[in-house]
Amino acid sequence: MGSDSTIYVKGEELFQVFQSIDWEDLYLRLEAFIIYTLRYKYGVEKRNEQLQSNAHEIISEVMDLIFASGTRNWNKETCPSFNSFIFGVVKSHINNSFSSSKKHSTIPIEDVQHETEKRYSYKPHSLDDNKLKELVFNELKDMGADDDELLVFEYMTDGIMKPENIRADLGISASEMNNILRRLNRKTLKLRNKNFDI
Amino acid sequence: MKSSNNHTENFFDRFDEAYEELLMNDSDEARAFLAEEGYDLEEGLHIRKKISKKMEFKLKAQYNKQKDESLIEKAYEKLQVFIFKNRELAGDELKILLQKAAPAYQFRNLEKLDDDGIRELLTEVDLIKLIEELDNQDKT
Repeated sequence: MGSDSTIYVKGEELFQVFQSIDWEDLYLRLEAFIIYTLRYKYGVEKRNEQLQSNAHEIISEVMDLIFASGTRNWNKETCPSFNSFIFGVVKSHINNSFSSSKKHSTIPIEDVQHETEKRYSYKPHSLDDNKLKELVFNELKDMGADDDELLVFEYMTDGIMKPENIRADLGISASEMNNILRRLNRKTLKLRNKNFDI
Repeated sequence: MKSSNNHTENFFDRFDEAYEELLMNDSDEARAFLAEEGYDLEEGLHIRKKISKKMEFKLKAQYNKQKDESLIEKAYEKLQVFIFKNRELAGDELKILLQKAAPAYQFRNLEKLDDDGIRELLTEVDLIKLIEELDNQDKT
């Protein structure tokens, strides 16, 4: 877990971070994120109450790992914000729980942190990508995607990933952009398992 | 849930990640998502408040415990050095020092204390004051 020279946020400094957190707000985002991940990324089919209870358990375990046992250490150099760090730990924790049943490979925390920080680095445009883009575009249309969704799809498949850049270009509000992303996400989730012949 | 085709999977990852990023940073979206999934937001708010308070309390207690333990260790090490340096006077000197740090506490048979006894005794005194006293003794 890091070289000898790695400096982690610990002790008093970590406690100050802990005290500065708006727990209710963070808890809400963690809960939604975990439920989304379990339901849509890992296909966990449970009743809402059970999923919510799983989310609470995961949050509690992750808090213990960070603040009590200290087995998940925050390195500000690789992960500048606490928000990215804690969500990285959650992702790693969920992934590792699933990998223990040999469905997925284990992701060490450093990689998860790095992954969290290096988002939005897609560079499409291979022939396969262009073909796939066209096929998915048509599927989305068939699924009833509106012009906004298709436009955002085009931006994202052209490698423009940051929602703030897309919405500035389209001249729409943050909440409109969020709605479009949510609708688009639900449709692309359904297409993940489709066998595209390219 | 994920497709077995890696290329297709990578292609779709961007939409997943963009939405995950929203949930990670935007409370309104987190709320909208939970509502869309059929979660009772009012009840959720109540549960979240309760759990986050409990968690906050638990983590604060754990942090204070860790802090106390590290102070005890620090005081213990300083006391060991003090006792070693003042072997002949240790009993009386120690009594005076400890009484400054915990005036109401009766210290008896200090000479017979073993390591565990000293640690136990340190839980009864004002550790910060004792460490200060030991530091002052060290300077004189």
